[in-house]
Amino acid sequence: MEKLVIIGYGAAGFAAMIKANELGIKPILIGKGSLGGTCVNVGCIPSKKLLSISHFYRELRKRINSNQFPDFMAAFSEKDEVVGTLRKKKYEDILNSYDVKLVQGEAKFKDRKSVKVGNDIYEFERCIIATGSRPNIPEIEGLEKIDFWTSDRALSPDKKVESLTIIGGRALALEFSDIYSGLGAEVSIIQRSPRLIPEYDPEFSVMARKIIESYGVKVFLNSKNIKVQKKNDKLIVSGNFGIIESERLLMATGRKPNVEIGLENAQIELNERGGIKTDEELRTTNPSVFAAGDVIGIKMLEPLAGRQGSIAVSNAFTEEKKKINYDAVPENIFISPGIAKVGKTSSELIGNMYVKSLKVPIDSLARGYIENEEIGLVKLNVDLRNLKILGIQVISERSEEIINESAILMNAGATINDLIDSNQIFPSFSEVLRLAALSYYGDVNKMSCCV
Amino acid sequence: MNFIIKKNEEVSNLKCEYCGKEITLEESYEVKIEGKAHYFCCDHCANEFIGSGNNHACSC
Ligand SMILES: Cc1cc2nc3c(=O)[nH]c(=O)nc-3n(C[C@H](O)[C@H](O)[C@H](O)COP(=O)(O)OP(=O)(O)OC[C@H]3O[C@@H](n4cnc5c(N)ncnc54)[C@H](O)[C@@H]3O)c2cc1C
Ligand SMILES: [Zn+2]
Repeated sequence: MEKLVIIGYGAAGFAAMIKANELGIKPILIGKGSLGGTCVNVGCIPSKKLLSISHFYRELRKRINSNQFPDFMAAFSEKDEVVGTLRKKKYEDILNSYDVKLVQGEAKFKDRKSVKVGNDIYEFERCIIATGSRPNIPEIEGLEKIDFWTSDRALSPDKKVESLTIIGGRALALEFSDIYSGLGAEVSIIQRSPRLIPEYDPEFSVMARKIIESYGVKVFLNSKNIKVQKKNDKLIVSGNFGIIESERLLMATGRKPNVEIGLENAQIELNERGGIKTDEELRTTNPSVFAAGDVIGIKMLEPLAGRQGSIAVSNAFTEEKKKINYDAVPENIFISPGIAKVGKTSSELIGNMYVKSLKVPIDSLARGYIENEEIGLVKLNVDLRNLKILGIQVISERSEEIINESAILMNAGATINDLIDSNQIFPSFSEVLRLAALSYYGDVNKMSCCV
Repeated sequence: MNFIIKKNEEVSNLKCEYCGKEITLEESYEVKIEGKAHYFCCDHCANEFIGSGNNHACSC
């Protein structure tokens, strides 16, 4: 009997392994494919490297009025190098410093108390499911007959791509539109909803569109009757928006949890999103089994997957009963300027009579002027009864850093007065949070830099 | 890339159901009340409409 079996060696599985060692437990870590799972191989790391290249050249073109684009295939080689280095440093080398038995292969539950990998059976006291997610492909007429891309292939094209059509309008669609337009391709986005990033408030959706349109990306919203077909060497996408012809089609239409692991044999149920149903302590409907990461299907983020992996192991073996505060889980779209949020949006708070939104444009900020930033906005949703911050949305350069600070505020249950009473760096982008808080008491247009 | 773009007739302009400001579907706040969708220019207008506003004049 094994004390702990972990299925999946991505962010969630690795964090679970590390926590297990901290508790003196040697786990069996089962996985398939490249070590490290999505984040390092085909997720956060490669996409952020390509975005960094795209942003550097875009800034360069703007500043020195040049027409220089990065070398298309060299950008992907540079990305491969970073992926290789980080996979070795953060996953392969790390594995050697832990007490763990690595098993490579596909795991399936045999019954409530054991999993099978090939002919081997591992009976467990506790098990963590951390099998991640894969692209979700909606039904679109003609799609089955063409060779379309998902994010994996968009991160490793075999040759230069001159034109790309993207179906989708959330984080992945926006990031890939940035990458490919930044590498010189003509890019179109086809979104079925009336707006981009519908999980943000509408003013953020409108700005998101402005940002990617400034890259030359064409955006089609409210798209209906989408059909795809291949004609000669081109892919034709048609619908109520007209006809778009391009070399490649990227489906950026969300991801779905990997749950095909014999869950029925272990009496583990699914939630309404098709992910693994858990309670707040991440326990599944089988009390010996916990779940962590994308496979839960609620929010798919690397640091969240890691924390869930660690918390699942704590809760499996101790009485700590740890929980995630989902209102303090930040997310970011790494276009430039970036878009980020934490906590509740105004759309989510409609009907709550004690909410006030404090909005400040980025050009109220000295740093915005220094960096020539014209597009940007921060919005703080505040509970008028106690001035507690309920949610923060931001569009700004360094949005990922601003939202980290925001997440700490949310986790601490901070009020706008806590923010106002703090000392901050001048001139910085994250100052915009404090400025928004100050706007509760006065007009920020009438404030000097140093308030 | 070749585009043959039609005018999108389906997206007609809307008006905020509280203050009357012209808005597009893209920039609107949608609130479903008893199954019917209502559209507003901002969250304040939406809150005023459903009677939970906190006396903010629409400033947008
Ligand atoms: C293009 C892209 C960009 C992203 N960018 C960001 C970002 O910037 N920031 C961010 O926070 N998040 C980002 N994400 C999301 C992030 O990558 C994921 O949320 C995170 O990696 C999920 O980790 P995980 O451990 O749950 O799953 P994974 O890393 O997918 O790991 C799952 C593991 O389970 C294994 N497995 C699956 N089934 C079985 C089985 N039956 N038997 C054995 N092993 C199995 C898989 O092989 C894999 O090793 C991005 C995702 C994508 C696709
Ligand atoms: Zn209005």
